Amino acid sequence: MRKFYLPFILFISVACWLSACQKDSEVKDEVPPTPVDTTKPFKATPYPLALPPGWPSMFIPADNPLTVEGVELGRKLFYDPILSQTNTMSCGTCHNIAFGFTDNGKQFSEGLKGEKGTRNSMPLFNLGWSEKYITTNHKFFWDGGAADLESQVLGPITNPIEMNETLANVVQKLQQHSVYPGLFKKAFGTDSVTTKRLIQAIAQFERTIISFGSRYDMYMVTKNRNLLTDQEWRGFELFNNDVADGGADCFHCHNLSSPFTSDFQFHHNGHQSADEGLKRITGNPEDIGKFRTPSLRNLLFTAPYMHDGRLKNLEEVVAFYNSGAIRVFPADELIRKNPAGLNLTPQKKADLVAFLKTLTDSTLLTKTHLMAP
Amino acid sequence: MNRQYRLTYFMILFITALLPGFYSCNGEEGDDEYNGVELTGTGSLTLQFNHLFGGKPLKYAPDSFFSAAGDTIKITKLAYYVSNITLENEAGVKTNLNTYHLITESVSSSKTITLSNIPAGKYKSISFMLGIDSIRNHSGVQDGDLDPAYGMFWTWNTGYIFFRLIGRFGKADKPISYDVGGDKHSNVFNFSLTGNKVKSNQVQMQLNMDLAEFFTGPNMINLQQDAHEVHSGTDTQILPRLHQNMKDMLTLTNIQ
Ligand code: HEC
Ligand code: HEC
Repeated sequence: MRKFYLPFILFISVACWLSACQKDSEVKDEVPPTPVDTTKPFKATPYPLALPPGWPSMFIPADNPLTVEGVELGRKLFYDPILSQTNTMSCGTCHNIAFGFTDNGKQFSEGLKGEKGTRNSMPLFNLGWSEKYITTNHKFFWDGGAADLESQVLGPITNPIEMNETLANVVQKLQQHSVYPGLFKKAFGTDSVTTKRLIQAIAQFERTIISFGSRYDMYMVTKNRNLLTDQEWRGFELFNNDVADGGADCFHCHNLSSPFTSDFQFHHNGHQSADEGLKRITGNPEDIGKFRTPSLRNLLFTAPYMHDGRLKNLEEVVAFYNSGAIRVFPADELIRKNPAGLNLTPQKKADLVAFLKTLTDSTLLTKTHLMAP
Repeated sequence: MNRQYRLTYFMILFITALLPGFYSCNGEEGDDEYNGVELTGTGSLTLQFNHLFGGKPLKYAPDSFFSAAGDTIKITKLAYYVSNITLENEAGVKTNLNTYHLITESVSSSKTITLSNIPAGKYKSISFMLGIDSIRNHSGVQDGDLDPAYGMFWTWNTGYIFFRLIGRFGKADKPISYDVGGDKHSNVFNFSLTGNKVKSNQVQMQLNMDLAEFFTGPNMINLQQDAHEVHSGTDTQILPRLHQNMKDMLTLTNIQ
């Protein structure tokens, strides 16, 4: 009998004790256990990225590696007007490969509703290096307003004077599409369309737009001086020398020692406009009128020039820099240090323009893997 | 063993077994109890956000409220991010739960944040950020509550909108629209938990957000003359004043 009572009594009393202590929590909802993910990690085919000879690696975010399936999906999305409210405008509308991925020679692009923006469409190439070499969060757009290539994509889609569409709608349209869910599955493992996957795919495609193959590129690889004419070499010397040494002083900002012809900094180059530039992003009054030094590659296809497309051709650009009038505050110190301007003769102006044209990569315009699928 | 002996034995055993139970369950007043929040086992923590205007429960337009400056204000949208919920234990060790939550007045489920698998421990303070930390704010687009499809995102100057208040004011029903964002404009709220003896594996905290403070705080906002909107993290006119006012907006009212 004793042997029976002891555990029994202990059991009863402990049970009472426990239930008394728990009565507080009984009324609350149980938190459901987080489901365990038993699926195998998904792997798409790594994209065989061919870097030009001698170039450094580009920036690729760890959570968005280039894959064959991702790039292909991104290319389709880039050229698909489904991203716009009325299904009539794609990224390719304003970034046309035939114009070095700019907007058909227009000063300002027209949005869906016919409204014009205030900035000239930017050429798209070698974007993974801008992202790598700009050390601040101000990486894309003329004023550096986009912090990475992925989030840049959200701008044109939602901008009322561009594609004027909501992200929720785009995601829904793609999810209900006959083909896209399958393509998202191939690229990301499941057929669910999300904002993040949408912009990751487009950014993947954009990173594969690599421009290399200008005569100047070929010279950099082979060091064969005959690839450029005497006039082009005279233009090169002007570009690459200080005014004090008889040059035109372009190289401090448009750095020629790398293939990207930019120092990846923001400057006020003397071009006056109402646009606040980098100041709009940072709020810092010292950043007024500063824009990212653009690449000078493919200028032949990307006219007109400057953030507001006010300069129609390269002759106008050279005449602009030649002037002393632009060399006043708040222009950059590198511009103001030559207050009298460049004093270029007509011959020197022509030489400089001739050199700028050697930075033209015509091969970019015929790359079928970058065209609409 | 005779019957009476057995009964006495039974009684003694029974009472002895129950004693520690009674003792510990009434122990909230006991001296050995931790004078703070003690999570037993791997527990859960629930934060319930209640929205008020001048102490009254917030209701969207057509209901209206009065600001300290005498403006009649109707609210049509309130949304904000809570992130970096961090618990500090007895020894001063802080655990950041690293979660991001979008809270919207019109979505009642969003107003309750439930965090499970919190390590057992004695906690003396809790803190969280109203906004998004600068690292996450600039690490590209995120999923879940951070999906930019919720519209709490600036695309022209990459970054999340931390706090959004939209509505109308005055007789003419003029629009007000405040988007608070930009790395400088997050606010960290820190609440001491000492003095609140709670011991449980499911702790619940009630927080009140009073929007009257947004317009009162240390910087009285008078809508007859002050800006009715802000849509940039670099604004210098009204944003710094609103940012300061927001520091008084939240109070921890109850812990269970
Ligand atoms: C209506 C015309 C238009 C459409 C459509 C358009 N863009 Fe653009 N894009 C522009 C303009 C104009 C700029 C420069 C804007 C600025 O700096 O404010 C630009 C800039 C960019 C840049 C920045 C490049 C750099 O070097 O900083 C990228 C990248 C870009 N666009 C990608 C896209 C993608 C992807 C899409 C489709 C989702 C798209 N664009 C749709 C006109 C357009
Ligand atoms: C202080 C730095 C600086 C110097 C020096 C400089 N640039 Fe620029 N350049 C810029 C910036 C910044 C822009 C963009 C300005 C804008 O859009 O308002 C620009 C724009 C241009 C553009 C237009 C590119 C486009 O896609 O629209 C050309 C062409 C150009 N520069 C050529 C030159 C030449 C040639 C020289 C030498 C005579 C020169 N730059 C000197 C900073 C500089």
